[in-house]
Amino acid sequence: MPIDFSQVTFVYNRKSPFQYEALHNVSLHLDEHLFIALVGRTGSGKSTLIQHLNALLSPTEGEVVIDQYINSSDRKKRSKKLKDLRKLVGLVFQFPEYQLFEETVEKDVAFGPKNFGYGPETALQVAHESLQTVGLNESFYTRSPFELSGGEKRKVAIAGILALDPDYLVVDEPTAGLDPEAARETMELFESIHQKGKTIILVTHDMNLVNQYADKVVVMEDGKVAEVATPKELFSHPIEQYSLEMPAFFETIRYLNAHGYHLDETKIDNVASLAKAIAEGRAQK
Amino acid sequence: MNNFTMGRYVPYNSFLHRMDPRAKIFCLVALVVAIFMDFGFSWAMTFTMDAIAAILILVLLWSSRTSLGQVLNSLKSLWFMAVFLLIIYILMPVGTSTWVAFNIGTYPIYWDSILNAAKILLRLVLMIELTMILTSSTKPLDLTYAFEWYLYPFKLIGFPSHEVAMTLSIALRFIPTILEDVERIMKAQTSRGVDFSRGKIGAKFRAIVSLIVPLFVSSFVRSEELANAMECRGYDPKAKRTRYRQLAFGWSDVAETVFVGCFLALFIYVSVTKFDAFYTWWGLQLPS
Repeated sequence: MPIDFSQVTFVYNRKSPFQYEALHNVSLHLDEHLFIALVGRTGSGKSTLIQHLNALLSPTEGEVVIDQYINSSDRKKRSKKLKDLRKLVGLVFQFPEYQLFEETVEKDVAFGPKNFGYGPETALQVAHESLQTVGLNESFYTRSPFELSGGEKRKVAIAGILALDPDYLVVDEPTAGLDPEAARETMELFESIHQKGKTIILVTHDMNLVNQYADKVVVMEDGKVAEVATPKELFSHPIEQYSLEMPAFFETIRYLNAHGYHLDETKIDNVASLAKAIAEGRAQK
Repeated sequence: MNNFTMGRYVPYNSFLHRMDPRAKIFCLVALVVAIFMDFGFSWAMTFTMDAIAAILILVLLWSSRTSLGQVLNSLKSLWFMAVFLLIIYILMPVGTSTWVAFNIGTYPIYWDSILNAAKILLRLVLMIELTMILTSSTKPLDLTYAFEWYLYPFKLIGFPSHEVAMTLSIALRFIPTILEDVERIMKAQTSRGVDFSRGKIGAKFRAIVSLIVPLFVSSFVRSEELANAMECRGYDPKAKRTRYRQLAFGWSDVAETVFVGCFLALFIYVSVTKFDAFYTWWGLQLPS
């Protein structure tokens, strides 16, 4: 079942001098099993939007429907067991390594499952599985999370959310501050989870990731949804108005076209087909 | 931040906001002293004076544009202490009066104790509202400047007034940052199924641990980063430094300080002379 925002408005610090409207009348429909990218400049409402997905925030007006759960501004309409929604929608915050607190890695990962009523044995087993998924082997299980490197810490934190086995995984800037190798590993991890039929919602500023992984892009601006498109559609027109940067892939095509090539953007899907097109273009020359 | 922190600086432009922070601190201390003046067991006079103080403070609250919600919030956090104090003071006999209100079993509860408890509670609330007015109408940085100014005389005896003021300003500066951290970590742990508002004692304890530990870690990281950043810019606590923002003591500050001074003087006069308007006006004999 899909995610539906209907006319959601959210206001921080209502009725005070700090009052700030972060979302303005947002209506948005997101299908399941997609890899969705959420982009937009800082302060455009991305973080506020994703916090509505697992009821950390409730709308000031309007409602969000996720599967059978309703997160509404109206208390009466709101689902009673919204806590269970947090198992359905896993939310990985930016710099999640700051949420680690247990003595050992396995305990920290098992913390989430325990909160959702798993027994200690099952919780540990689930924790081990999700640590394997993120690529941390047995040698990490009993180490203290605080002695790990930054990238490893982040993997542990992500495993902590994966252990809940959410159907929707929301990740906020997961590659920020990681080296390129670790960043690629992290993205491959989300891609493999996506392949298993889960919905991924990725908040990012990196258009290369959007171009490479996303099925659909939601562009936000000033608390509103400015555009919902496939990456190809989005990058086919200028995007400077959203303070977004064209991915290197499209930059390359346009640069080549400006310098004598005649590549057809609509027919090039990935790096391989680009290479082929360039080779053909050269042959024609 | 969605929840409104009590006593947080709110940028309005009232006369209280424009007042010099040094004058404000003086006035706060003077008013607190005035509130806590002792008028013996003349309850009519005590509550009259407290009512005068309360009216002044209500006027100040109103003019500082502190919202009613904020005031109620500050009282809400006080209720546990209030109940505790009330019980202790009501059970404790004070004064010499044998004016019994009622008995618990054979233990007599005196009217004096009840009135005394009410007095203490009222004064406590007034004091808290006063400090709230101060912090919500003064920028934290201005507050530390004022503190530093008050600490100047102690420099003569080698007291590191600048260092103390710097420590204070850093501490104040980091309160909102740490509150943001708290909120961020709480949200992250809530996403992992922690329930901070409900749950049994054990679960609640684990919830608190899951908040405190990451908070400590990030606070230590922050303080180390700050220390490094300060050293990189050659910070030397002993160096003489000038200041971009100068505090200016204006005529309105003088007037306000004098007014509060008179207010305090009135309270001291009434307290010392045991002046009791009620007995004097009605021609009654003062109880000895």
